[in-house]
Amino acid sequence: MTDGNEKTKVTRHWATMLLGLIVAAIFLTVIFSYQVEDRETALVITLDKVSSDPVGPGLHFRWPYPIQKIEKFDNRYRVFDGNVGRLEETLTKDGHNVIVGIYAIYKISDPVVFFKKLVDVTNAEDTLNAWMRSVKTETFGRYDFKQLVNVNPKEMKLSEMEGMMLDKLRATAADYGIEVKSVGVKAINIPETITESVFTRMKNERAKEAATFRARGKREAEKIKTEADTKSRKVLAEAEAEAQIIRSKGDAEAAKYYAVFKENPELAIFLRKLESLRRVMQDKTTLILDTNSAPFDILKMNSDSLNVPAKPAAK
Amino acid sequence: MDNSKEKRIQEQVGLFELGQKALVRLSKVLFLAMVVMISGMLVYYVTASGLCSVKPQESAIVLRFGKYVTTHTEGWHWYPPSPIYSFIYIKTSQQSLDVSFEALQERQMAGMETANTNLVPGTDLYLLTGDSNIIHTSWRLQYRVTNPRKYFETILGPKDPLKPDQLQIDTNTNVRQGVRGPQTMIKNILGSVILKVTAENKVDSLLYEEKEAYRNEVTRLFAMEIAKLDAGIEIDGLQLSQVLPPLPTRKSFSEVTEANQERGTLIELAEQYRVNLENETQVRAQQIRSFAETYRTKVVAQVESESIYFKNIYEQYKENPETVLTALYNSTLTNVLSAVEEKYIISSSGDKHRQVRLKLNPEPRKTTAEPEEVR
Repeated sequence: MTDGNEKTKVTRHWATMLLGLIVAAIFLTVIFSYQVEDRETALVITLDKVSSDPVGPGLHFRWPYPIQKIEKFDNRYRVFDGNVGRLEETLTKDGHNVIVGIYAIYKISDPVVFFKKLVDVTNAEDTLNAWMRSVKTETFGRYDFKQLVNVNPKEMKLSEMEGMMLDKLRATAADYGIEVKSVGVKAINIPETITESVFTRMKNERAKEAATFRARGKREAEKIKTEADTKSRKVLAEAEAEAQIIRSKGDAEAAKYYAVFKENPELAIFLRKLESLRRVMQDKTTLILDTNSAPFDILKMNSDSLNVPAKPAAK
Repeated sequence: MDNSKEKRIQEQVGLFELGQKALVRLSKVLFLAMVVMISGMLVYYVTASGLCSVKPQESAIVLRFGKYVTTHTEGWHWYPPSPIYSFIYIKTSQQSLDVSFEALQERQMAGMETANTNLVPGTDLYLLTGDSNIIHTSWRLQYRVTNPRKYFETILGPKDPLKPDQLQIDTNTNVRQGVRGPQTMIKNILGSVILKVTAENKVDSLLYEEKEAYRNEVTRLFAMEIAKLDAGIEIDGLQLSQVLPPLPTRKSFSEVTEANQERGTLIELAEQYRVNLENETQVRAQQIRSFAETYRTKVVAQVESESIYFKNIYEQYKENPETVLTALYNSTLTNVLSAVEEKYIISSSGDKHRQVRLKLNPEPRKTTAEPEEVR
């Protein structure tokens, strides 16, 4: 009778019991297991002792707290550009004061060593910051200012300096379970007081450049004009030469007609003189003649210039 | 009396039992409601939290107990719920990132031209050029995540990668320790490349003639750095939004630009002069040749006509030379002298030491001819 009652109870309350079992299973799973993601590495600390190698991704069994503690570390690269002294003055080899900021890309490569020596990321970055300041000061102290900024690529050493800082930082950080992937210079500034003198220099250089542009403009314009003038004169001279040749050809062609004047040169000369007179004595001419000149000799009653009777013959 | 008391007690017991039954019924109903609610929540949890809904602009990384299973690029997918499966969503559409090296004042009050302040390191961002000048630049980067799994596993990012980079704060001291995340890393790498390329170039090259080469070199080196990082990121483009000299020097740079424009104007005017002169010269040269050709034609024609004239006269001359000469002479003089405006005829006889004083053209010519005076 009692068994029957029990059976009936189980049958009647199976749903409730299943729910309870599920809740209990979840509870137990949470207490006795842990998950590690792909981006993480976990350390199992059993009774305050690192009890195994780093654990990779997946679901793993654990004893509940406080028997076992699980420390997870993100093993992806992260960028760190310093905290204290992120931008601080550094002296170059030649005594220039520059304000330099650098960054490092790093990741936790050995969680056991990292955990034992640095505990957590906050503490690790404090330590890393100190290393970065040290290598920055040391490296920049080895190079002149002109090796930081220079238009000649052979003189530029920034990449070399980054490489040097990376090597030093990498060697130091490796002992602490940190892998430094790269180091970069993110800022090179000059002290605030010096910027004013840089501005003054920049202004002076611009004024000089402006004057150079204006002078160059005048010079180039003058050159263009001079070349144009020279070319023009040359073209005109050539044209004049050609014209001279043309005229001489004309004269030569005309000369063959002169042969006819040989038949009576005196008459030809006389006719030319008359022609010249016609051409010369045109408008706006003031003429002063004496009475010996024909035909004004006729004004003198004894004129015989043209061998004609000065007086009409008396009949 | 006893009966009535007993009856009242029985009634009270009956009421109690009724109340008890009602309470039990209510408890059962409430319990059933709770079971239904918990079952509903379980069903909802199993179905809804196991749904992996991936937009076309995203990718979803599927993890089983934290271990990588697969990557979905779009659509709905269902998996058993957390904590068995979990999903990491990564943005795969194009993302933009601004990197600028500008003064704080400029960032706050864009376009202000009257400033004359120094630059404060850390607050005012700027770059040093190869010739030790200062410039400000602004850049815009476009990039995409092409390999979500590699991106997620390589660079530390926020818990939800779709959100911006997180500000890290020391929980013990409550001090801000800076921002951590993929965008911060990309910004740092790009900033370093920009700094190096700027430090190798002259300010004039960067401001004027070699802006394109500057941008190309930064893009090239940045692409190399991103490739070295091997984080599943691809660069779509990098724009140089602005390159400017510091505010206090900007007027001087404008003067240089004006001077350069003046130079251009002077050269342009000189070129105009050259073109005009060339045209004028060509016209003049053509005229010279043309005049020469005219002369040639004219002189030949003239001499030819003179020769014909001579032949004709000569024929007459041979028959009566003196008459012909006299006629020609007088005819010519008549024509010539009639055209002469002022004529002075002086007697050739008389004293050799006589002086004749004439005032030539004493007044402007008169329009009407005056009577000729014979002295």
